[in-house]
Amino acid sequence: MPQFTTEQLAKLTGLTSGIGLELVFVEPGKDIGLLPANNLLTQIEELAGNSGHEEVEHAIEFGRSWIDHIFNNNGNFDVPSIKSLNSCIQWLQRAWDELGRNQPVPEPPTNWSKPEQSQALPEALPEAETELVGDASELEEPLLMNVEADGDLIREFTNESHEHLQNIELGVLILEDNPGDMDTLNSIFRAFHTFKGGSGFLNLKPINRLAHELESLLDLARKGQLTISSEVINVILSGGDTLKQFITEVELLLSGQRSEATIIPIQPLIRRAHRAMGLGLTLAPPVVEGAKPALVVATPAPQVQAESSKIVQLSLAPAAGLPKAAAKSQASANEGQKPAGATSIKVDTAKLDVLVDLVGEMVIAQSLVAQHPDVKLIQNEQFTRFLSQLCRITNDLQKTAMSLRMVPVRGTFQKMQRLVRDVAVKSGKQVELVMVGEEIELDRNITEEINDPLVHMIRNSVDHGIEKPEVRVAKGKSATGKVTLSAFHQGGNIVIQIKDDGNGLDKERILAKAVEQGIVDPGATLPDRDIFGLIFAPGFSTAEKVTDLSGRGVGMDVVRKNIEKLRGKIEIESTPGLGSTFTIYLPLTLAIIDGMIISVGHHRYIIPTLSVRESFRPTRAMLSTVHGRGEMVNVRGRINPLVRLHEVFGLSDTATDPCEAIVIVVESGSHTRCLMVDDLLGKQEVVIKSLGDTFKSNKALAGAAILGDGRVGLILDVDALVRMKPERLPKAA
Amino acid sequence: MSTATFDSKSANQHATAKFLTFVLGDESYGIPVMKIREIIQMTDITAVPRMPDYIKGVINLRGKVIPIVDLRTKFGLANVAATERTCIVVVQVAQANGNSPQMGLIVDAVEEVLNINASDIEATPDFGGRVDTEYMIGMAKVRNVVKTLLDIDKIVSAESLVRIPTNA
Repeated sequence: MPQFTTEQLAKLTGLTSGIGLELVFVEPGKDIGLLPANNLLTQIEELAGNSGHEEVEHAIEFGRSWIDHIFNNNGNFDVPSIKSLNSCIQWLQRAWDELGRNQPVPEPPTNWSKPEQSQALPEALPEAETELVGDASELEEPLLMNVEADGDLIREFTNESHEHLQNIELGVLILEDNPGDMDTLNSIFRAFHTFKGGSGFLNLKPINRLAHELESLLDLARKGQLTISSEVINVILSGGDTLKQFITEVELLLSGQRSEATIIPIQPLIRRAHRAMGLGLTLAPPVVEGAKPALVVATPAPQVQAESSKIVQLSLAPAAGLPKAAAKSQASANEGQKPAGATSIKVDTAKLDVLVDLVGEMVIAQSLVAQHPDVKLIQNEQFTRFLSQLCRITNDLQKTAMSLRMVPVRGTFQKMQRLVRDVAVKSGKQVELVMVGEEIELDRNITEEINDPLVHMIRNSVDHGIEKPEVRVAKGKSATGKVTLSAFHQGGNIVIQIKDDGNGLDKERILAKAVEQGIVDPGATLPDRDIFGLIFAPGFSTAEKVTDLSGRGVGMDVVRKNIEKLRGKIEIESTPGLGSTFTIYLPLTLAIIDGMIISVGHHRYIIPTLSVRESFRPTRAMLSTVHGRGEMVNVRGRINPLVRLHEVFGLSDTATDPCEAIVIVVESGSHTRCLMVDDLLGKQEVVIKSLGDTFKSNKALAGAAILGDGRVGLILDVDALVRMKPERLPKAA
Repeated sequence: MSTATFDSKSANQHATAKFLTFVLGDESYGIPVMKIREIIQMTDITAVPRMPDYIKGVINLRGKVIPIVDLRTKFGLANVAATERTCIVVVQVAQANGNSPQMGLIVDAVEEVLNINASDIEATPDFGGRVDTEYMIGMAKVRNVVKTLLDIDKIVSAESLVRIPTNA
């Protein structure tokens, strides 16, 4: 007999008495207490629902059937449901007690009978079914809600919904590879179930109805009465998408950005769900078959079904061959998520920012104390020890505070799985996505911002990089293309790499296109790096026929801009016929940069080290002028315009002769400039602060930072400096 | 600028309001205390290039970077060296875009907090264009000294700050 651990039993007892407590307050005809009870029961199901303990499972199922019955009945308790649930809870309580004492569980009461409709699922719900079929021809129901009364509840509902939707999507993709995965099936079922419960409670009718249908569909699959076919997968995916639309809609309504809900059609989807249920039934038990209205099966779907299954076989083929690594990483991701959810709390990011600010100040205050001349004179050994102890603690504290903002890239990566699937199906290709390093952590803001560029590049990789199966086979590659999405640390940066084994970039065509558009002079010979860099040129992408260019042009300038906004950079490598690699270098966090502190006159400024290529004191021979004013510096054969920072900022008391100053070669995109500064003071990691609205017109500054002495240093916006006064500067090579 | 706004705002406070008064040279000014967050000593200011001259720069206020406005320069008074009475009044400004950033105002010295009756406030007289009266609530006469009451939101509003020569 399966045993529960003491810990599990304690938890189960707690959950059960929780339900008991809720039941004390329920009243017939009201829904108060239903949602908590439902939640608690779901948790019990997770703990003991598959324990193999027959009586326990039976009792839980019994409770579930009544809760479901209430949900299906306007969400209001009635006398029989309260009675049954009470009896169920009492029995469960006794059962946990007995199990705790290693005694057999008591005999379940003989008078337990499930609610009438719950015998079997959607088909057997005569009223609901006819109503729904009848509804199909009717107008879609609008989304109505009471923002004033239920605002907070609805907000909570939408917050949770995002997680559920993500789980649904992930789950479905796993199911596609492995239709027999009961755990995943159950978790998707539960997600829809929670949706149904929440929306029913809040009276969000269309959401409720849709979730109900999808839940029924999954329930059939769960009971083994329905094969997970491609159509079923597609219905569930579109269902998830539609629910997502609803949630967005609800959020818009909540925030007051929209005053009236737009109607999102759900009937076609419901009909598809019905069709899938009708067609996919595997030798269903006669009860269900008999109860099923003929209307549902009669829809002319077989052809559609056949077609779509063909398509999906195409896409399933690679999926089935998905290497263990990918599948495993997914599974481990799922496992990893559960405990994480249980032990994490949501915190307002504003609070985090304040914490980080204060900790930063503490570090400065501490160093001010430690560096104070009088303190330095103290020769007491104990004091020195205490001081270094304090120093260690503040450092740890700072690290911890910084790490609070960090989240694994897993979530972002997993979204790409769906994208690859969709694009592959659409373009008739076989593609597998391999993900590496999903546990690498990044600043939350970066993971959000990096999403769009990644979507763009992955779409390009699949759409344009990977060849069609027949082409690949002809080239002697495997029919299935491979896109590897990986994250790893390198230096102080996070690197995200998208690598495909497709056709690679076509240098000649890129160059030809660039010449045609006047970006490059005819006959110019450029190193590979620069040729690939051309696809980032703004406007390059808008050229006609650019999709022929083995792609990569479309919107790549936007991709680069987004990445640079995150203070990252992107590089391309490509081998003709073997594929391309896009490498994105990102800072660990948006809150900190590695900065080079420089001085101009008696002012100090910070330049992000990522944009610094080199620095040196120029010799007279390196300098030249154009028309007597455009100053240039020759750096090993490359001509770079000189930007005198003191002129740009209108500062006096500075070096005016470049040969007595320092020149820093900075780059932004494909442009480089030489910044003339007085001196380099050092390198430091600094926490970036916004300068606020007052200085937003000051394009040359990216922000400010508190330096080690507690004073403010201004961070230069290298992009802006590089782009400044382009008319006075000759076109960069 | 009218006393009417002031009246309506403070009508439920027995028509009096508290003002912090400070001096610039021999002139006396007042700011509603509700706007004031703290008063700090003069400290090192990091100059920000390419800004109007009355924006002295930024300081580190316990980890926050806040801009500093020199009221003397703003009002066209002669510059003087900072004394030990010179201080920075940190105010919270309400901006049209809904933000409420903090800013520091350099003043020669702070005086006291005064209760001023709405009835003691007179509309700002018309100086015939020689004085920009747009950011004044009105004038109050307290113990025979005229105090100019300032509408701080207007003085440091983003619009009035953005008169910067940009050749970027």
